[in-house]
Amino acid sequence: MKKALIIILEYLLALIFIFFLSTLIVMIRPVKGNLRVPFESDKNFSELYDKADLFDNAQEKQLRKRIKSCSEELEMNIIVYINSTYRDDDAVEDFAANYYDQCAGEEYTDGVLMYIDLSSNAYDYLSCSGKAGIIYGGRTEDFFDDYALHRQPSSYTPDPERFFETVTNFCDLMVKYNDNYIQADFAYEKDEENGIYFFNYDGKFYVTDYTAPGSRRIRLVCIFIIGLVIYTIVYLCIRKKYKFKDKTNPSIYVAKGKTNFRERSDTFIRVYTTKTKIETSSSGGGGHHGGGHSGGHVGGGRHF
Amino acid sequence: MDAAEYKCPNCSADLKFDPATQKLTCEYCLSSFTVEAIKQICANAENSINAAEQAAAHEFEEHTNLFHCASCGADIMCDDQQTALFCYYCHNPVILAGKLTGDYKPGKVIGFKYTREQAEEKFRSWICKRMFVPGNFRSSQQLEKMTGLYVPFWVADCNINVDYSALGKKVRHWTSGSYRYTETKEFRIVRKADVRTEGIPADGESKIDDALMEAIEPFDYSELRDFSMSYLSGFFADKYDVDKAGVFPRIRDRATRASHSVISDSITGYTIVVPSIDQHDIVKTDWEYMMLPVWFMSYKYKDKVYEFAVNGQTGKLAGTPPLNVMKLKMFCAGISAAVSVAMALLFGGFLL
Repeated sequence: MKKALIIILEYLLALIFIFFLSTLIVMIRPVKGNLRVPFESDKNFSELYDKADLFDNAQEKQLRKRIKSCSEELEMNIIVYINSTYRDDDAVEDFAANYYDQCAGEEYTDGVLMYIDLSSNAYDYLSCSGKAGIIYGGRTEDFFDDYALHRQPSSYTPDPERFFETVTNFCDLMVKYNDNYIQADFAYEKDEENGIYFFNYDGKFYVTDYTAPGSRRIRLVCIFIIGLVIYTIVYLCIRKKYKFKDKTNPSIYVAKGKTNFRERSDTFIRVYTTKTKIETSSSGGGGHHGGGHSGGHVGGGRHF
Repeated sequence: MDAAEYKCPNCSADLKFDPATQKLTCEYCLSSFTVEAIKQICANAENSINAAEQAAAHEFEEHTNLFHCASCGADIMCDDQQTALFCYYCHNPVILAGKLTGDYKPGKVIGFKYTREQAEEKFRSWICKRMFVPGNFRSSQQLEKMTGLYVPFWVADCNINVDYSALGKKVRHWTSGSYRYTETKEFRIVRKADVRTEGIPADGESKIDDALMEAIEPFDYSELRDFSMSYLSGFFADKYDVDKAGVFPRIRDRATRASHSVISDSITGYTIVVPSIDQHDIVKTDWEYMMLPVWFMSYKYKDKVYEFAVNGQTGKLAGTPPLNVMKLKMFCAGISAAVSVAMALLFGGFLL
């Protein structure tokens, strides 16, 4: 019991050591290069694109003003794109990322594009670029939970007033989530398709195609745990060779030719047969597909 | 009837009458006999000791010195031409304790065939495959501690009465259409047999690990000779401190396992065998007290004694190698570190 406790304690210490060693190694050279193009207020291209002609001029003017002020406050571009033409989910995501980069004129700028879908089976999507990738990219589920409170479902005829409120609320949420963002040196988001990382390190936002410190630390911890498993396996295998194992089989002492079977019978008693139905299972198909989009976007969406 | 007048034929302890089973039972080795059976066994027993045996016992008493180890309690016998200086077990000095009575004279002996050089060579080749033993374990000083020792053994021949009954099942499966069929044929298996085991040894020395002595078996009893003091010349011998009653549980266990193997070998072709009666009664045991040759070595490492033995007749070696845990941990750490560094370079995200 005491020995087992010591072993458990040793392994716990090893895990703590692995964690600190991984952190230490990562901190030797935490960042390398930065693709991010920081926001400049004189290059602000925040805009409302009402492709569904939902709002009247007064509403559009009001919303543009709100978006602009929000953009200045957050120091990132904010594009709200309202569309009524149906696109599938992947197409929405690709469109949002590509359209944002098209508006910005270059990749990796700080900003978001909110795609509001007015078609049936609507799929609203928030595409994040630059520092928005780490501020909003990892919290889109929470974001859409709050967003859904002021979002009219797609089964209803779009109400301009309701959507006016949706966009206004969206801007408020942008500010709220930005204010609530807690900087953590080893948190990161990744654009899996393009291998781009978004992270914040030492108070500075980064967009890199080089592995983020947080990802490297996770990999190192996993690798060292694999090392610990290898250590344990090698240790146990070798230790096994240092155990006493030889033992003579006592059957060698049976006197040959001196065994006398007084009775030796195998009598048939009965036979019975059972049957079970073979259950067949059919498998359904499913999969994931995605089209390519320009690099450096993360985000999330939800059906309404 | 005074049941105490009968001795157990297996272990020589007093037999007592058990009213519940109406049998004479041995409280020590748990054997039981009917009154008729024990009377028959006693009638066949020879109680006389011939003159030649008496003379041999007298010679043994005259020419055997007993040395005692105050440290571990070992009693070492050797002939009166040599003096034991160190204990073969704990390597501490021993003192002359006196003479032995003729009761300790073994009946038979197998002489050493394996020389000291052969035993050392065997040990060297065995230990060279184990790189994590402590450094001084391989030293020549350690090898010098190897002692040619006659170990006292009780060797038993047992007659076992087996009563075995089981339910055997032969199961086959097949598929037809959308159904899977299972056919089970049941058989009643009965085996009643008289099994005899011969030459099961059990060492009568409590300090030496029983498993170690079992591991260097078997001995070839065809080379068994009557004991003579000349066999002790140049070697030591151990005085037994466990009598045949003490070793009988081990003998019974091994004899029963041997008779089990006879029964299992006779039952073939079944998918499942469920025993209902599995009784193996040792009805008679013949004993022989003998000295068997063993090259013995012990090594104390971190308060634990590691024992090694080489069969002095066949050269079979057994023992538990001491493990230098720190050495092993360093080796494992080196391997896991090398693998981790390679994996970190390949998958750690440092090159991308």
